Amino acid sequence: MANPSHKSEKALITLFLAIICSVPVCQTLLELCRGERIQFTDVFHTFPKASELRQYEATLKEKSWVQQNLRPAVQSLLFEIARDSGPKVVQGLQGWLFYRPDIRFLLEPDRVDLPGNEGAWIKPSPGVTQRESVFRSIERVRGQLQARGIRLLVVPVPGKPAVYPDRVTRRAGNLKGLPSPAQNLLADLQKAGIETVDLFTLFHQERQKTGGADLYLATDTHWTPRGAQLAARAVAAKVLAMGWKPSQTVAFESTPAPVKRWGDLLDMAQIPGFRQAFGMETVACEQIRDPALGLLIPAPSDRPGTYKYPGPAATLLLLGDSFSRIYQYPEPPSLGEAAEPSENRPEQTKRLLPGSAGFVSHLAQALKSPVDAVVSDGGAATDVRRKLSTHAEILEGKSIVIWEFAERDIHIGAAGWEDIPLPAPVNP
Amino acid sequence: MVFTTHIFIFYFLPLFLLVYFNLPYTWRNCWITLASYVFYGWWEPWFVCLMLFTTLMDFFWGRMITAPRATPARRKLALAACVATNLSFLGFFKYYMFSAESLNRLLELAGAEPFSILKVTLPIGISFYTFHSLTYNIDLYRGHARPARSLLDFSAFVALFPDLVAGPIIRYKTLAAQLACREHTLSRFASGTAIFILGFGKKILLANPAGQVADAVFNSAHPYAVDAWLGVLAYALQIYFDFCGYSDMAVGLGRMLGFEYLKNFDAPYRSESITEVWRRWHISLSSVLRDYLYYPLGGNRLGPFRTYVNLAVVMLLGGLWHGAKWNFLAWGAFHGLLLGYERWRGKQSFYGRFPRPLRIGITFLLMLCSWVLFRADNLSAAMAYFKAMAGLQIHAPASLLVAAEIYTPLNIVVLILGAGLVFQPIQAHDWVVARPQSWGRTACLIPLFVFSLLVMFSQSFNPFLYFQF
Repeated sequence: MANPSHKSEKALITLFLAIICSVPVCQTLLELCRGERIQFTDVFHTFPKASELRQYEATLKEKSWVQQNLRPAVQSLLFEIARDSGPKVVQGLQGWLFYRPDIRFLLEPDRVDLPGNEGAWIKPSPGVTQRESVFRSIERVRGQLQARGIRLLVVPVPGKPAVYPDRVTRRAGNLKGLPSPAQNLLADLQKAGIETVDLFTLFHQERQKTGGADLYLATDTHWTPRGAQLAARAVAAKVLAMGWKPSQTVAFESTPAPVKRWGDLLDMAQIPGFRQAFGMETVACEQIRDPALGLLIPAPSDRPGTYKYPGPAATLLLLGDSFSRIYQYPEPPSLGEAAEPSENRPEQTKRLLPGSAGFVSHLAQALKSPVDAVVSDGGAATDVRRKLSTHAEILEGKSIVIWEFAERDIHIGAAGWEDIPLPAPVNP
Repeated sequence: MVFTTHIFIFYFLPLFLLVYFNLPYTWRNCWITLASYVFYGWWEPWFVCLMLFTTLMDFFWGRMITAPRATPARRKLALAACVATNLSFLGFFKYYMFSAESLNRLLELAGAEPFSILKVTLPIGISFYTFHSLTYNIDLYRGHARPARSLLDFSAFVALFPDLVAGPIIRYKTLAAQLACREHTLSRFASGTAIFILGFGKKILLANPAGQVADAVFNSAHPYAVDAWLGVLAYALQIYFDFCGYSDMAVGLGRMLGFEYLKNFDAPYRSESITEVWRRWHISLSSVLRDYLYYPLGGNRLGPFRTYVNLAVVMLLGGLWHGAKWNFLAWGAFHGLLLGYERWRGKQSFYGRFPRPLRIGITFLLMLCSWVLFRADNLSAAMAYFKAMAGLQIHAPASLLVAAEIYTPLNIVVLILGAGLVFQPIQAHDWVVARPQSWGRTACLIPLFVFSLLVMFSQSFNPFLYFQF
C-alpha cells in the first residue's frame, strides 16, 4: 500500500503545478480560439531592454483573462469583508470618499526634488524642494506671458481633505478646514508679485459660517456647483481688482439643471459593487447660457478641452484641469445622467452633465464676459501648457491668463511641471 | 524578475520546471545557469554582462589559488587580487555615489566648489552574488572547499536564481556536492512546494499590507506618537515577512531543484537579547560576517577590548553592506553597541533577569528602535521619527488624517495576525521539513496558495525590500 504521506505529497505537487500551469495554458488556448496573437510569445519579438521588458510584463498581466476576471471579484470580496477600498481611495465618514494623493499631499513634507534623469553626471546643486520647483515653473510662465503683455493669475484649488478634514476621520472631527502646504506656495507667489486667489481661506470661512456647506461632492474628488460658483466669484472679484475691464458685456442667463452623477472615486476604486454601495449623487447645477450662442461648450469638432468664444470678445483665458471641466464640458456617459436633456445635439446631450454649468461658465457670468479655456483632466501642471503652445493663437487679444490647478499637483515637483516654451508672439 | 509576479509564477516557473525535469541530468546545471541569467537580466539586461564578467574573473582566481604548483605567496596574491577586484566592483556600484556625495558635502562645508558625480545604477543583488563568489575563493584558499568542477558548475552556483538577488547567502562548500550530484525526490519537491507557498503567502498577505501602513506613517511629516509606534510595528512586520517570505520562497525553489538550503530565519522576534537576534535573523549573513570578518579580525581571542572593537567593526560593515547611507551605518553602530554591551555582561542583556515575556518584549522594542534607523530616509528623518514616537513632535493638524489610511479593518486584521505569527514558535521551515507531508497540510496549503494568488491579482503595492541591498 502506498505511503499516505506520498499520496498527499503527490496531491500537493499536482495541484500546485496545475494551478501555475493552468493560467498560461488557458490563456494561450483562449487567444488561439479568439484568433488573437499569442501574447507571451511577444517576448521573442521584444528588444531586450529594461523598459521594453517592463512593458511586456505589464501587458501580459493586464491582458490575462484570469487577472481581468478575478481581480474585480477579489477586490469586491476584500471590500465586503474588510472594507478595503484599494490603493487610490480612502473611506471617510458619512459615506464620504477621498482620493489618497489629496490626503498624502497634506501629510507629506515638502521633499527635495530629485535630480532629473538626463545625462550621466550630476552636478550637485543646493536642494530645491518640490514647492520651489513649482514656484520656479510658475515664474517662468509669468515671464512668457509678460513677453506678450499678458498677466498671470494663479488659482490653486484646495483638495477635498483640506476643506473637509472632519469627514476624513473622527480624529479630525472638530476641524472645519486644514492649513495646506499650498498656502505657502501662495505666499511665495505673492511675495514675487504674482497675482493669486486664495480659495483655502475662502472655503474655510464658508465652512465656519455654514457648518456642513456643500462645497465638495461626497464620492468625487471635485467641488460641487456651489463650490465652483463660489470660486468663480472670488476669481472674478480678483480679476476686476486687477483693473481688467470687459471688451463687451454679455448678459448670461442661468437656469436650474439638476443632474445625477456617479462620483469619480467610485470608479477609481475599481471595485464591482462600489457604485451600488455608495449610490449616485444628485447635484443642483445652474446652467449658464449665452443669449446668442446657447451653452458655453466647445463644438464637437474643436480640439478636446479647448473652448474659444467666437470673435475677439473673450480677453481672459482659463487654463485648468478637471475642476474646470466638471459640469462644463462633455463627460463620459457612464458618469451619470442629466435630469433633462439640455440641448438639441443628441450625441452630445447624453454626455453633458449638464454642460455649461461649471467654473468657466460661472466665471463668465460673474464677469459678464466670455472666457476662453484650455482644460486637461489632471494636466494643469504641464499638459494645458503643451496644448497652449500648439494652439498659441488663442492668446491673441488676451489680457489675463487664469491658471487653475489642483493643489496636489505641487507634489509632483519639477518632473511634473515641465518647461514648455511658448512660440514667440507675432506682435509682441 | 520578482517571485510574486504574474510572469514568474505563471510563465517563468512552469516553463523552467518543464524543461528542467525533461533534460538529461548532465544538462540541468546548464539550464539553471541560462534561466538564471534570464531571471536576472529581466531587470536590466546589461547586469548579466557584469555578473558574467565577475563569474569568469572569480573562476579564474579560484584556479590560480588552487593551481597544483602554486606557492603560498602566489596563492595569497591571487586571493588578495580576488578580494580587491570583487570589493572594487561592489565599492564602485554601491558606495561610489555615497562617498562622492559625502565628500562634496565636506567640500561645501569648507567653502570649496563641489565636483560633478557620475550617476551609477546599482545592479540588483550585487552584494549577494559578490559574497557568493568571495566566500568561494576564501574557502578555496583556506582549504575548506574544493574548486568547482567546471566553469558551468561555478556559473550555476553564482547565478542560481532562487537565492540570486536577495539571499540567503549560500556558500560554495554547502552546494558543491549538490551541484555535482543531487537527488530529486518527491518528498523534497513537495516540501519545497510547501515552503514556497508559505513564503508566498507571507509576502502577499502580510508583508505587502503591513508595508502600506509603514509607508503611510513613515512618509508623513509629523506623525502622532501612537501612529508612529504603529508605523514602526508595521515596518517590523513588513521587513520580517518580506525577507523571511523571500527566503522561504528561495529555500522552497531550491528544494524543488534538489538543493538543500539552510533556513535563514528562526523566529527572530522571539529573541531574548540582541545577541540572540543575530543568531536568528538573516542567519546566512550573520554566519558569513562571523566566519569571513569577525574571526579573521581576531574574534574574541585577542582580549576583551579587541572583541568589542571587532564586534563594532563587523556590525558597522554589516550596516554598510545593507546600503550606502548614514542611517544604515547608525543601524550597524546601534547593534554593535548593544552586542558589545551584552558581550561585556557575559552574553547577557541588561534585562536578562526579567521574566521571559519581558525579555522578549524589551528585545523587540530595541529592534523597533533599530528599524527606525533602517527605514527612515536619512538620519535627520530618523531622529524626527524618534521624537514622534516619544511624543515630542510638534504636530500639524493634517497629521490627524493618517488615521483614515492606517486604521482600516483590513490593516488591523493583518497587523494582529502578523504580530501573532511572529511571536509563535512554529516556523515555516521546521513545520514543513521536520514533519512528513500530510493531507491536512495539503488541505491548508493549496487554499492558502490560491487565496494568495487571488490577492496578488488585486495588489499594486509589491516591493521587495531586500532587493536594494
